[in-house]
Amino acid sequence: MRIIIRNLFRRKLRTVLTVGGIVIGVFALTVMGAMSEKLSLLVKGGEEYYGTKVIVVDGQSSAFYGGAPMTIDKRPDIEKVKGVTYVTPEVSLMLDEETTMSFGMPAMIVSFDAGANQYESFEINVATGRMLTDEDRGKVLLGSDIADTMKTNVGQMIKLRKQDFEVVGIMEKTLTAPDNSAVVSLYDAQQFVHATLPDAFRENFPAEKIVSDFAVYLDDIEQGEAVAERINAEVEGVKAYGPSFFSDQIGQSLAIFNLIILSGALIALIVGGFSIMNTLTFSVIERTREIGIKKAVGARSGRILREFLLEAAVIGVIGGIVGIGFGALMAWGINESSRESGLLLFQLTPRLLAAVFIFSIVISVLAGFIPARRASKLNPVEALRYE
Amino acid sequence: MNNAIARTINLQKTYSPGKHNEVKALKGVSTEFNSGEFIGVIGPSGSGKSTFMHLLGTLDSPTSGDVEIGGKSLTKLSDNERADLRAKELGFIFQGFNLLSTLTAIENVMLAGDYAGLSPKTTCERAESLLKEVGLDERFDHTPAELSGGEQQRVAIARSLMNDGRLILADEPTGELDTKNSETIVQLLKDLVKRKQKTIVMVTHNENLTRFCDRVIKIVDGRLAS
Repeated sequence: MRIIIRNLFRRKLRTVLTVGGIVIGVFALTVMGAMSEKLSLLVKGGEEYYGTKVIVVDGQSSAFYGGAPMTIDKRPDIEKVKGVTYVTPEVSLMLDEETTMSFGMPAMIVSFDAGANQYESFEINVATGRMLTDEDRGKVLLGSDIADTMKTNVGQMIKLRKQDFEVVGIMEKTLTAPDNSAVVSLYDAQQFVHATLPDAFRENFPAEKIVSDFAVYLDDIEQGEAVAERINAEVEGVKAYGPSFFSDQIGQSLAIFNLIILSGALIALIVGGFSIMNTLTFSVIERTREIGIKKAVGARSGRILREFLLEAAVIGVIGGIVGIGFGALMAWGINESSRESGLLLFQLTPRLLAAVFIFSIVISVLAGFIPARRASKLNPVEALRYE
Repeated sequence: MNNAIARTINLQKTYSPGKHNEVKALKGVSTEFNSGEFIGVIGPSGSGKSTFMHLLGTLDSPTSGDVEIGGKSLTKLSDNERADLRAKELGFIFQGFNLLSTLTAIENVMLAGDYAGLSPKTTCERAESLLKEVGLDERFDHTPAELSGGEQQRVAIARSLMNDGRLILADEPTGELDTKNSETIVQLLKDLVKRKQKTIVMVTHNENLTRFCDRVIKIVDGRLAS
């Protein structure tokens, strides 16, 4: 290995430039991969949450979630539909009044319903403090990221949309949407939404009637699509989405998005691979006589092949480590700088880092294969004559 | 002869056969080399001496005829088997020393032990011992650029002995050395033949050095001259 490293650093500048090519590719793959991981985890969390229930929104709403508020009066009608176990009213709104668009999941205020807990399969546990109750007023249960962002802890007072709230608990990390949520009682959430309504509406639309949507728990998850159809048929003025809607629509869109951003990074790494091919090709030409000597002394072709492939792998290892280091630093830096706004774009996971590192080595070895094979196939007599 | 460790049988080598630039370098050389012999190969430039050495050293394949080393016919060996034969049975000493410039003297010698499949401990011990034997006790960690021509050739001699093979092929080993160094190197080879019972085949254009040899063969125009 010492000799391999020495061979690589015979031409220091060239090797540094080659490693640089891999570093750029690995850096891009790490940063883009971390973004993709974050989005994938959000989608996975969404699929787990929405995949077991039917979501009912206002009939005029065109959005799956976050559409126009609706009235809680629809709840009994939905409960009557065959196959429905429990209907929980949900109220949600963005924490930041100013936010209009966000890349990723914005920080949200969401309502709590103790009655739904026994049916909910998406498990949320409290890390410190206690769970919320329906009777709590002015109390909040925070997601782990939002608690970090607000630099608060159990027992402290915080402001949610200029209102004072006491933190009663902080949830365990889920790596998905709840991490960036502030959970309040349904009553408190309804007050928040009510305050946002135009004056003309506010008087005729009491706060306790407001819901953003209903989450419908099912007798049999397999019957989710059928129940959604029945709700659409039997309850007027609502739109019901079955368990597959989220993964069909959001999941697929994000899969395409992931593919696009990862492809860009992948191309960067492949270009880095070509720089390895170029470097090793020159190296083989320069070291033709040396290869001849090794063959004369008894090196098998496979041994020569292995030596050059190892050089390529070492470039991949060094490029991988440095690229991952820079990429992780960049992802961490951007996350920290945007933490104030509750927007965490990147998620560095062990599987991402391991995959990027292995990929960096694989690309390097593949790129090194052609020059390495050429070296191994050299005729020893011709190689010894090479000047 | 039962004592022969290598023999060539009607060895022929033609470069670019059938083309306008066809060259018949060897036109049927049959000879044999006995254990513990120091053989000089002489002949004018272009007579086929180096081609003969390359074929004898399994670095190239004959157009026809055969080379036998230790009773093994080279024409029946695969590339890997030839490499193994070179690693375990043969030693090479070249005119231009042919040491690896990035390795130290001891690393150059150890390389042959590594290819011969010796354990790292044996390789290291044997390399140290051989370098001492050729008078380079103080030069273990010097790179070729830090050694004189004579010293570099001593490293190459130590390398050729590393696998303890039976046949050492020296192609113009003194070609780049002055008269004094040339005689020292050839005397060193002669001593090795005696002490270690090696067979050395040495190509040289310096007929003066053949006085150290037990036997001299002459190649002229691709054939053995009487």
